[in-house]
Amino acid sequence: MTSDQLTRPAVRFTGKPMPRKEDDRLLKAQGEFGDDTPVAHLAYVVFVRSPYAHARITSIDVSAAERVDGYLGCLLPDEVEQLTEPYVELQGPPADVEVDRCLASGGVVRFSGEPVVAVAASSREAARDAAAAVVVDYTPLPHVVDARSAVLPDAPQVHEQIGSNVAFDALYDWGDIDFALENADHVIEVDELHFHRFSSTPLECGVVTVEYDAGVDTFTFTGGFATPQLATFNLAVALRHPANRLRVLSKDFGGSFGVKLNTHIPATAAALLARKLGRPMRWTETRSEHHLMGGHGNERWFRDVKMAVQSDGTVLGLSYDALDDVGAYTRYEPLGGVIWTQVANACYQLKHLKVRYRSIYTNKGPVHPNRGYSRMQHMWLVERMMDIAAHKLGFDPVEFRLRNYVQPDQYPYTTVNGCVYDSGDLPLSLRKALDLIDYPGARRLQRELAGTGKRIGIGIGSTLDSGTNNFAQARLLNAHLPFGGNTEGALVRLGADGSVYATTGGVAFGQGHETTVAQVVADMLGVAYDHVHVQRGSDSSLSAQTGFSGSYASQFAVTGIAAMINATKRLIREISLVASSVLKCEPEEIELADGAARVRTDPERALPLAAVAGIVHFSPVDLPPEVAEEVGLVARSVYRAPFELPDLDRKYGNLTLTYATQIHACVVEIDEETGHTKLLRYAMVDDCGTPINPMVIEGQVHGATVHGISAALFEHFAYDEHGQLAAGNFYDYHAATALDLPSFGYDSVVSPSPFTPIGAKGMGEGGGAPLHALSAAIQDAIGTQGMVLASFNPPERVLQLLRGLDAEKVQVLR
Amino acid sequence: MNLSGRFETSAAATALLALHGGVDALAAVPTLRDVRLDGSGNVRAVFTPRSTFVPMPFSITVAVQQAGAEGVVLSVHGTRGPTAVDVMLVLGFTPGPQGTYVSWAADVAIRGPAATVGQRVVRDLVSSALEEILHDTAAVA
Repeated sequence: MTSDQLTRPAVRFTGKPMPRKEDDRLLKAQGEFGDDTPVAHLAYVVFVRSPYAHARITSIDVSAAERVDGYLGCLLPDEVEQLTEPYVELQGPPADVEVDRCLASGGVVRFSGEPVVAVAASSREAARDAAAAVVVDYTPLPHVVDARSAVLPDAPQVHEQIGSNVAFDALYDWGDIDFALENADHVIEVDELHFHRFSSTPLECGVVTVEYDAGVDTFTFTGGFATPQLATFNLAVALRHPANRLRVLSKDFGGSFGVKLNTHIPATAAALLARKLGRPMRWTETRSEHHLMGGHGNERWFRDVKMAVQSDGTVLGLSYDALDDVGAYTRYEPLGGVIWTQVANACYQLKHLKVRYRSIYTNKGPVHPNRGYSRMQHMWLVERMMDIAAHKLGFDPVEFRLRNYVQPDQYPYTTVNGCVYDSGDLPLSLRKALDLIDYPGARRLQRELAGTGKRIGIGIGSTLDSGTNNFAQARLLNAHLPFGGNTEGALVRLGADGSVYATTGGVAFGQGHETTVAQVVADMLGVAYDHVHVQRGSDSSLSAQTGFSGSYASQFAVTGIAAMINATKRLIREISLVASSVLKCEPEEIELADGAARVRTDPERALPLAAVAGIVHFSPVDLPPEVAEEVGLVARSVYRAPFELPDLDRKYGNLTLTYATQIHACVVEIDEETGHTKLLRYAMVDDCGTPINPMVIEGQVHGATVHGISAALFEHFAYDEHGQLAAGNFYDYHAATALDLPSFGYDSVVSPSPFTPIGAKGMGEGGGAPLHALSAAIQDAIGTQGMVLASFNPPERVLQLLRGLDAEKVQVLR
Repeated sequence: MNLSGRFETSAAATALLALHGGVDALAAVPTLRDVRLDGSGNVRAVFTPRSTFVPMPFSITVAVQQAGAEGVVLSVHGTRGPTAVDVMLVLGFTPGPQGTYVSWAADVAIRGPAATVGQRVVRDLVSSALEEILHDTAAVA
């Protein structure tokens, strides 16, 4: 089977909007999420959390908890220090001495919400009451909640042993931006821009159930583990427990968007309690807990930003200084310090780019990867600067982008840092997006409403969704990290009754993997869509997984599907061997169609797949020995993404296999009296290569768009001066609903990737295009009297913009 | 968060001042239990304000920072699970027709879920709790 075969007329499902296999059970409330699974003798864990942003723990008194009916026991920081190893840190010296454990380490709490004690009880309610009865005394320490303050010489130290609050410090310098800035016709300078802190707030918060089987000294973890093999590795190190005695499972789970890459941390505490108390333990995160530490997206300050522009509108490049606020612990960070370089050029033909990037500790909740992880911050900055330059230099914002976009005939396009953009048609995508919002009509409306108290703004958001990581990028932050390339695994087998069973190494958390896998496998095997049974969730003990298995970085359509294609090819070969021996022909003469293996030139000579399975499983004597001994009808295969190691000295090389593009356009109406931004029209055009299921794609584009719009207008994990989170629930952190949004216009462009087996690209993260588009639209409505230098623009900020906010921070140097 | 109030009590200022260390008298305050002095001479107790929707017992520690005939400065630290309340409470005593006018000013810092989840109601709740405990305590002087 080749990729050509998948596009032949015989392809019946791939590329079609097949109904999602998952939806039947999910819509009937028959899904099995983390808190649904019944477990005998189950006990419940609740964490006692720090109310202080930074404090020394002076005493812990659990005596009142012990008097609560149902109390079983607790886990204290001292026990954790004795029983566990600190989590593995990715960064090199000096910040590699950070100590991070499942409970506050070193007798110090470093953010409000940090777990200090884990309490177990026989019921959820008893655990909550017992946790509330634990008395922890603290001595407050000076705290820092602003990354800009955290880098000052006398700033409070989040981790004293490191000696500063800098977790990672790197200079990226490609091309010659200094020369460009000296010689460009125009230079735009912006003092400071801010990308705010928010999260994707998945419907299901974190849940983990841990069962410890003392007889075989084995832990079984069930919950939302986005990368099960990496989680196994992290748990094995932390628990000092052999990896072969850890099993990590997931069933349905209600969204991750990256934030569930750190589930191993609360799982460690639950595991210690399960072993200590001899009962299965479940921790179910509350929404407020999730807001406190379930994983915030990276907050970033961009300072001293300069962009070089020629008189004809050609942008040469830019430079800036980034302070990335990672919160109190690095966890998955400072990987964001290199991840952003996957999209160094954003959508543009930049020739020069210089960035000093620092990851900064503060006394705030730790950041986790979050939809568009680290790349959307950089792309927002680039897009914002493109927009500011157009406004300040008098270019039409549409023409300015069209001139600077990577052009269709330039693909594959090599960026300033050696990444290779595989395919795309940004100008066509922009034209389609503008058609969807009726751009000329919107400009007319803008003129008509001028002076009425309502202002119309039109915005464009151009972005990329880089998918399928080259894990060697980790070596750019620490050359000693043993990662490189990327793989995914898959298992396909023919059961005894002829049913097809497919197991992917990927982990689904809502993307529709069961659907897309079934489409591709059904086409390859020539069986009905419903004939393919795709395993729900994941199981680390099955050999479908590789070390990198999981779902992250927009890659399943490439790695997960390619591994499935490879495994299915192996199964086809086995089926062909069996069928050819029965039908008395060569294996190469066999084709699969209509649920049977048949002779291509004589379709009447056919063997149903059920018969193939029956012979192999129940009557191997009917096969030649050399076939019977080779064929098991179980095929495992791995897809290896074609990567090389980057040049670490130059920080140069390809870090990502595919680049989906998203061009968004919107029309907003701003009320001058209230500052309220009303979305009048919103359009998105997605190009993720050859589609496997257009409906699944459109659904994910809608989801990413809602997340981005909501982040731009409503969602902000703000902290007060005491280091207290000001948005601990959905009253104060408004995630957009249908009531906040207009109907979206959607269209697509198909630019098949030349680098992937069927031309598909990873997608679904969206790269934050709505943040770019809304910032631009608000700027367009305001004009240049105020400058949009923040990604979060609630009504109070829009009112300030109307009064000239930040206008002085933008200068046209020439 | 800065709060303030004023009320009149029949107790004399000297009686109010004598409450510190008067564990037996404080034990009579209906919203306090387990009243004791710790090794530093601070008052420790469990305070369950009436003004919360459901019973929410706080473990509190009260330390006298400054005391004189005209008033007293107290630091109060309360915790309940992940919530902490730190209050710097300045009490002023002036003679009144029925006894003593007590004016109070509190600088309150709320930490934990009450600061995040409860931020819309916490000001009123803390103000009510302070009014309540000051009235109740003055009543047993």
